Amino acid sequence: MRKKNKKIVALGLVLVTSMALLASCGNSDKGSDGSDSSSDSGTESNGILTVGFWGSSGEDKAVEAAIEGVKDEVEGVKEIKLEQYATVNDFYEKLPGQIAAGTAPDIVIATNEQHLQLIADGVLAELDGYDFDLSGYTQNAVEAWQYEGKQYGIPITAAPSTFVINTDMWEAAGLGEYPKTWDEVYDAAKELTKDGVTGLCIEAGTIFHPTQYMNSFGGGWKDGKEISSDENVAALEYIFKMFDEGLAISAKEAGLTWDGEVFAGDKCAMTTGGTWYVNLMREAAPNTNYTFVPVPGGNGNQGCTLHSYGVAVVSNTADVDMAAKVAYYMSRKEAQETRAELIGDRPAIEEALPVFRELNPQLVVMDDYIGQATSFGYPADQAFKTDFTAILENHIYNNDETSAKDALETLAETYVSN
Amino acid sequence: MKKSKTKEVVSFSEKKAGLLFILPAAICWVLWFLTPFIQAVYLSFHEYSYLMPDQKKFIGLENYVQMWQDPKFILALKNTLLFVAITVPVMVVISLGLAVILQSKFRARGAFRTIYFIPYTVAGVAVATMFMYLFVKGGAVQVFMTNLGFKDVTWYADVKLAMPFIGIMFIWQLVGFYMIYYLSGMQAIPESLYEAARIDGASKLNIFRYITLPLLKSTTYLVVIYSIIQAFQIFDQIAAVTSASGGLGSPAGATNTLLTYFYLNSFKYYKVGYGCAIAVVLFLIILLVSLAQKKLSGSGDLD
Repeated sequence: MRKKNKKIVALGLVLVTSMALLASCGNSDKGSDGSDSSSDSGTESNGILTVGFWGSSGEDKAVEAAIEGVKDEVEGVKEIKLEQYATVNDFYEKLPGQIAAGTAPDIVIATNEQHLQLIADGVLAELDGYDFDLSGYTQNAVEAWQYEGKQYGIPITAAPSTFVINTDMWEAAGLGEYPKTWDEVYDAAKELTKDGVTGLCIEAGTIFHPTQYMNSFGGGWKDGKEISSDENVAALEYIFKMFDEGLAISAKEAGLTWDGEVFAGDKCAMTTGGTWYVNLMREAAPNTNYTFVPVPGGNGNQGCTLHSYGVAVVSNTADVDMAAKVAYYMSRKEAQETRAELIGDRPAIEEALPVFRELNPQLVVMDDYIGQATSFGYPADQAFKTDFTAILENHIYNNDETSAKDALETLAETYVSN
Repeated sequence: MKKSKTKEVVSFSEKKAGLLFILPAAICWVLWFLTPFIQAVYLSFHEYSYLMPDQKKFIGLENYVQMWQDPKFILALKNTLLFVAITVPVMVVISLGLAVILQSKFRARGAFRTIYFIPYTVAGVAVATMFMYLFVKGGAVQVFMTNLGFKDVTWYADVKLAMPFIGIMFIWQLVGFYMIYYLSGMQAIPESLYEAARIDGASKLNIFRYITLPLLKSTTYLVVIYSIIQAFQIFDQIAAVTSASGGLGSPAGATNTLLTYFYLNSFKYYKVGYGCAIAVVLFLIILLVSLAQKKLSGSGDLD
């Protein structure tokens, strides 16, 4: 009897295990022969598309405004569903699993900060061949969504990075004109670093801010093609110097989570930043006077990054053509104006800019230098960001003496792409 | 004859009922542990990304070979082993000490037991937020530390202090939980043994050493094994402290453990195959440690 019971139990477990394994291996096999459950050729679209996005308050309303009227404009569309991710990290962590499971949205609103891997791995569909008129769009934003000459997204925002200065501290220090070069920033930081305030905040926890320096020194990552260029080395040497001399502080050192908190908390006088500082300062430090100026230049060069939200189509969607047309519709002028009103994003369509300028007069200065802004150009391999951040953190928090040149050359050995 | 026949019938019914009771849990275990585990082992021999699920490629042991040549994996492994080696003994000693103190009769002993247990009920993220506030440069703890001659730094921003910071949080949060384990273990020790020892003139230290400690062997085994597993699997506190600024495992990988490195590879870098290989290695290490612990512990019965 006992042996019989054991056999029954064992048989039951084996059956359940086998069923579970067959179910999981069945999904794997489906993937390995090149087909995908959601994009089998010949599968007809049912006219229902899902748009995936993340963002803070107002983002959902901006997307709703963008899809308003789409059924009348794009043939075949019956319904647009919205899928909002809690944060940008949530989006990039969940999307791959959804792609593998065949449940990814058809259209996504993403930024050009991490889009290269999605493009290189074939997640985003090419949008050439539809004759979309992008002539009225900020051209470097259009280029930010291109890769190897092909278009992979339609920009709906185009905002260059900026340099933010606490004008109260600046005037109290008796400083005159705002800095145009990093050498002038260095001199100003010496005057501003006192009484618990550090002259410059360089957020070392993300690659975004150091990349401003790379671009402004005439360098940049160039999609992983140039990591250890002389310009990048010069930029990194400058960053090291600022920390070594106590003229720069990171958010972590200040016990805070990002540069905005450091600036709004009056722990630094200057920082690189962007359009998001408007809402931040309005809420966190409404009485602080500050100004936006172009990102200073280095070694006679000028430059900064261009941040752009874009609407892109996930390549394994059932009807790429329909999704592409919806994506283009979502990028229209009225939608970008509504986005500017609701969220404060700078439009990518030139004709939509007056609305933004009226709402954000302090950011009009961006018009003067947006031509210098280029895309982030991070290598596709996301591990690059972690490794670069580790270089900075080792130098700042561990007094590591590896030179900027050696550090970037080591990085280039792993990540440079041809 | 009748009695033995009745016994068999009852026994079979009880077994059937028992099987039915454990069947849902067994099915859940198979679906949510065994199946993903087998899939993870399978994927660890492949190059696989969720972004390109149709381009899965069998690469044999390449992920495992690459792992031992990856300085970040070696650092994560070293951080993990050091973390376990230091926090587990400290936690066992403190929780045992607290249990011994709280076993004695004094006023408000119940209140103290509750106070020490409360940290266990608080979410890891909340604990991390509180500790970050205390251990920041110029914070309450740092004011105390600078008075003792230490440098005023933000612990979780310092490459050398970041992991100890996580360790202190980890121990603080769990010591009350294991104290309860020890308290319940101590309550199983007959009072007559203590009485006999006192009559024989044994000191408190000798009573603890020759009666309490040996009879807590099985409890200690459980405490050690559970705390080892928890230490190997620490994630929430590291994520709460590091994700906000610098990314998981910052600064400079100082708080990277095998689990966080697995997470980074699987969900940030999309290198699922490599991530699964790391997860398999972590599983094997925990299994080996558990088996070794079981072999070394022996029995701790009252007999």
